[in-house]
Amino acid sequence: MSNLKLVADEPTPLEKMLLDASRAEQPSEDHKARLRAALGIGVPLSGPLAAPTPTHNAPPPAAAAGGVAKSAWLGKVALGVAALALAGVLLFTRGGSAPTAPVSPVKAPVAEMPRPLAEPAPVAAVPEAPPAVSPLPPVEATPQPHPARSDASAAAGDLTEQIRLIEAARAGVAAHDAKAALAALDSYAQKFPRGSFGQEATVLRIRALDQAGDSARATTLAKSFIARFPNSPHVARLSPIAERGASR
Amino acid sequence: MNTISDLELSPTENDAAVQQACRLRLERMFNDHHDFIWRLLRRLGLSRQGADDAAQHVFLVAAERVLDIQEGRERSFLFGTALRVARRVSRNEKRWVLEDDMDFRNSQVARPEDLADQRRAVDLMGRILANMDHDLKTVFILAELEGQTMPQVSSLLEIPLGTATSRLRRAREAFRAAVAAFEASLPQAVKS
Repeated sequence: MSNLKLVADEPTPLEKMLLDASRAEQPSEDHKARLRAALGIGVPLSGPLAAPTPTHNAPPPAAAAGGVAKSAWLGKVALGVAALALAGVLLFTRGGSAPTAPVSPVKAPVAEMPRPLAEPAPVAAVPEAPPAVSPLPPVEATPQPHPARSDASAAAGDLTEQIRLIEAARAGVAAHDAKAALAALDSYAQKFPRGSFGQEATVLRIRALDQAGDSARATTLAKSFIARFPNSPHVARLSPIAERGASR
Repeated sequence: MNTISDLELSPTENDAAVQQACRLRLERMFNDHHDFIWRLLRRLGLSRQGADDAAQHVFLVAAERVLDIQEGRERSFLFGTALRVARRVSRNEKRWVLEDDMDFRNSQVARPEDLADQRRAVDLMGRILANMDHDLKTVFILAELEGQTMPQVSSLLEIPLGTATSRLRRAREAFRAAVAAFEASLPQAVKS
């Protein structure tokens, strides 16, 4: 009985056309990238479990032990979604360079959820993780600890500032103004050594370094990034930089 | 490589480990099932933007309940959540709601050749699915459009295999009747 599937009559050409069209439809990469950012996944690992490559084999932690920590993470997720919606910023896809222009937002669906999300947790409740164990050069890990904040509004302000800096860097790269992009990224690394957009910051830094003619560092960073995040949507963009270095 | 189980962690480290594990599990769910969930939402009648938003809802629910989801039941959880979210969103969006007589007047398709434009074909397919009984439509989507086997469909919907098989047969009949109705609605000159 296994693998039973009904034998269909041969579809007519029109039926086949409709079925094929529906089967071919896929979500956009833009949407997926924005949702990844909203969920807080696909960002660099940090903390005691940081590893060169993400693993999907980690067993689920006990629920009883995980409640507080999960809530803190969820708070960050919800806060991230809300901040993105408020800022109206599309981090990954917009071609324009105006950093404050509103674009298709990632909506904040908290109020419409079947069950309410956990209240955004104050940043202070999130345990401080030890410095990240990263194979990447420490360009995004300037050890300037960010002062702990004690309320959600301060955390939202942090996220808005993070988004502003990343947007400034992205605009610099889009305008081939590597100096401006790197300045924004340096500021980001200094203010948010464990920021929410570390992966994006690294990608932008690689591109900015490449534009600035520092191909050796760009290649080194690109190789490390791809090794660490082989499934990242940014890999396709970075591969030419990494491979160019390998062919030398 | 260290894993959660073989590290002795301080309370702070343990919290960080739990967060990391939650994030990794959600990422795996996203990688494995997001596109399926998005296509499901789309075929349940949501616009592309609506499917984007609804998929976000689904995964935020998953993020909230990630520790409650049984290992191996991720797809089932996401599927059930998507059905509930789609029902609520569809009530507001009303994108593909048809009149009882399967009127295609609102379709952008005037001739069969127009369906070569994939967007229009998808639009017509959406209208056909919108007029299909919900239970039949769900089986049709899983079996015909996602290519799942009947045991897989039966398992995901938690219905007997015979019921799933019967629903697929009736769904195919409904689909064929709808396509025939569309062809019949075309002007005679176009058909000949």
